[in-house]
Amino acid sequence: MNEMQHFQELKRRVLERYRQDYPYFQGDWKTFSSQDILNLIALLERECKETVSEKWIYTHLKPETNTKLPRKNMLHVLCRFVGVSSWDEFIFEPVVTGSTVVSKEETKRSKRGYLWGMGMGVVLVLLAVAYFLWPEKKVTKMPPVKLQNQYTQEAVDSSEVQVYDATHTVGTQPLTPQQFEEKVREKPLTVFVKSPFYKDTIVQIPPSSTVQSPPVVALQPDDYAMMVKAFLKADITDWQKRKTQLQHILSEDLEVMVMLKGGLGSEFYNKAQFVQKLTIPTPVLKRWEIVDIKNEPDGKLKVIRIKQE
Amino acid sequence: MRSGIVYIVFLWCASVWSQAATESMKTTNEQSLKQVFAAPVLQAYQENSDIKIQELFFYLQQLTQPGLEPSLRQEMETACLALFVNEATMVVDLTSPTPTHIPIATLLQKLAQSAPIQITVSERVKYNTVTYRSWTSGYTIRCVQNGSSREYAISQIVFFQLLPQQFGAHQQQTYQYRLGAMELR
Repeated sequence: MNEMQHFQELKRRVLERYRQDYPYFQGDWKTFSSQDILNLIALLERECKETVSEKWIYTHLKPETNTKLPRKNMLHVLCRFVGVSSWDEFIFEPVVTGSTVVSKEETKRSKRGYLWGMGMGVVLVLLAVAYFLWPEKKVTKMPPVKLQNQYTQEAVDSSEVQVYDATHTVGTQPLTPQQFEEKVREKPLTVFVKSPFYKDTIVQIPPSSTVQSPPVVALQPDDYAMMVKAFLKADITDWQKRKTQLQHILSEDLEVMVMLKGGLGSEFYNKAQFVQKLTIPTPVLKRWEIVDIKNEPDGKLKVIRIKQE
Repeated sequence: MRSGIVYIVFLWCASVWSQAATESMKTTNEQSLKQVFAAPVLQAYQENSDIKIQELFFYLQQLTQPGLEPSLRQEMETACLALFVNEATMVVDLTSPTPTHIPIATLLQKLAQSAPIQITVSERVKYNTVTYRSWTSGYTIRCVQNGSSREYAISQIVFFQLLPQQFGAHQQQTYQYRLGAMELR
């Protein structure tokens, strides 16, 4: 394998690692959305304490083929992200010789390999035992619908959406994927889809036994909410533009509630304080996650509820 | 004469009792934050105050960056001052090789002339001296400037009290943070 092929392999491993945190992402680099890019930046910052720009990801990771290898320090960062200490280790390929004489170092290495093999064997046996002993009802499946942005057709992050049974009246508790799947198996189900970033939607889902592929539910994005979400991940550039836009999209009566870790307390911001906070973003904003938004009749954001990690 | 003395003693006792009652009322009204909040809740608020300290040093570091445009500098200075009780709050002069205290407003002016400083705040923060509206946060910062590094062990008052907050047309009382004076430990 040459270095470029190794880089393709590294990109594949980065996606695999990304799916550990975002299991609903099932696409490839081509379908890697702008939100996924922001998620990946935050992940790299959390896991490797390194900042990677959106532009860098667009230049080096998004393209299907690459003509140029990125700088080595960036390759190190990606390698660390996938659990390898450095790029040198990642591209290292042991030389295979026909000789039966092996050096001390090789013996040590093969011993280590043997131990690894043994370890992996034990882990596999344990996993197999766990699989058969684990109660079947705990196995979760993806809900049999495809949520997508009405305009961009991009898949919607399912963790940002809550689905309620609205057959008679809208339920008080959101449905879990299992409950949803059971309810829609034989009968059609009217659901109310709620999200801080999309307009409320009521839609009827046909029984899963009657459809070949998962039905698509198109959600209309709330542009103002999407903007605030993007601003939480922004850096200092374009701060004046951001400030002007925030003044425009936030209600004068805005009330922002930041819930502290564990829900043990909360902190409030008014419009001026929130605009100031987002105009000059500090790393703290990366720990904020919008969980609920209420709008004025003209669409301006009136209440924002944020969870702080 | 005897009745006069009894009368004076009675007045004195009444006065002492009245003063004691007033003191007692004052302490009841101004309960320690430890009495107002359950221990885990107070701890959550104290830990959240670390964010204010991290933000402060983030702004201070940014303010030493060369080529910062004046409007952005002003925006950052405003955000920085908003963290404090007032502009005269005394802080450690990060630009000086000898440890001294200056008002935060003066430090902001000095940072505009300073060489870039890389600031790291320790993750471990200790909270002491909880009063009815504040506690003291103890932390360490490391400043690297022109290749040389300095460390400061700081204890800083963090005010946490009910203050009126304006949300458009309506106002409500909310608990808010304000950073107070720094001292070198």
